[in-house]
Amino acid sequence: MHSPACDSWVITFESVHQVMKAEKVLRPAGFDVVLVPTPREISSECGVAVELKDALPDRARRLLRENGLRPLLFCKRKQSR
Amino acid sequence: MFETREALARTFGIRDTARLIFTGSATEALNLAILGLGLAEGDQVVTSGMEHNSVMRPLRHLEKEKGVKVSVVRGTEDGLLSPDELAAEITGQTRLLVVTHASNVVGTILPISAFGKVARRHNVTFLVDAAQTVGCVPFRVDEDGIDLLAFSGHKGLLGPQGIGCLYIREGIELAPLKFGGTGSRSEQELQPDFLPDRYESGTLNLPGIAGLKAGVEYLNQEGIENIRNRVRQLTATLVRRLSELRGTKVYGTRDESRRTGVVSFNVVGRQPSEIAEILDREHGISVRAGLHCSPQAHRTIGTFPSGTVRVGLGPFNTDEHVDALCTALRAIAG
Repeated sequence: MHSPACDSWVITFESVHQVMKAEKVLRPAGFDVVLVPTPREISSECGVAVELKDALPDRARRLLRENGLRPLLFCKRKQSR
Repeated sequence: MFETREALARTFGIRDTARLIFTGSATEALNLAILGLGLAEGDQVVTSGMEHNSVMRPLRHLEKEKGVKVSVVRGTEDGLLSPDELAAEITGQTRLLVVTHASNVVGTILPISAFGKVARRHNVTFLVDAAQTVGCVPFRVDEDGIDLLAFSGHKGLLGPQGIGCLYIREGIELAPLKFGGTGSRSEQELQPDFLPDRYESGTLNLPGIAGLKAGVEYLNQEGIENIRNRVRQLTATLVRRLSELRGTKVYGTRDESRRTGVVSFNVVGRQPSEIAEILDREHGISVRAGLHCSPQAHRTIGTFPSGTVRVGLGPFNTDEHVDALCTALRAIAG
């Protein structure tokens, strides 16, 4: 369940392969993640992005980096899902 | 799809799973590798005398259309080939060494690890056709110096037909065979330069990929080494019993550590097609007769153009199956 105080982040990657890998890396580490269509205001990609519910995304950033994943964008989402 | 890629990568020692490309077949994977290297007039390719047409036809195409020199190193009648024999053909113009890991005609396993060292020493790209060995013989791309690895999903990996793969080592550049939608970089009309998207345009064979995952998971649960030992024992029995049958000639090496579960034979004085038909109609045993899409290999073992009768033993075969085949052949040949 989402805590209302939590921020939501949208993370985009170069390829769908990386999006799926990010999901596999983050979820078992306890992060609350879902795959979402990449919001139009962020990118014109037709692909998917990772939405992360977390107050402090630094640990997620580090974990992605440790697994060889390079997010293209890491943006705060205004509207909570 | 992601999980299938991960499972395959783990099985074959591939670190970066994005470098595993899904294709429609091993043939498509081999075409992508052979045609994608941009070989041109003056370049040379060295290959073995045991290759399938999925290697020979793209090579002959390059020879005819681009003036690429194709050198076939024949090896012995058993289908064996030494690294020194291969190395002797390599010149300053050699850009690609392509070999099958095991013959689809006689099952002879080639020493790819030693070939990989030859390729590395001469700075030649090393492509392995592993259609006959994935899931049957354990190996790892990182330990065997493989630059490009092509295989199909429906043989030893126990997946459905219509799915194949190409592994592309980091640093190897290939031109794509296909261009189109990838679900990424949609605002751009140029093909993406990152993998796997660069080589995976169009809708992939998802039912095939899902089936392949089930196959690979089964193999890893059973252990490829265990399956290999079981099939090896069964094959040794079949080869021994066929050799003892009067009027039957078995092809390939007698060294069981260097064979897969593929066994080719002939009944002296009879056409392979005739034997296959009797086995099928009267004994309910499926074999394949003829050239097995490998005229090159049949030239090497001396059975061109009539070919052989080929039996393929797998993880689900038993001693009873071997027994039934030998009993049937005794009735046919005797």
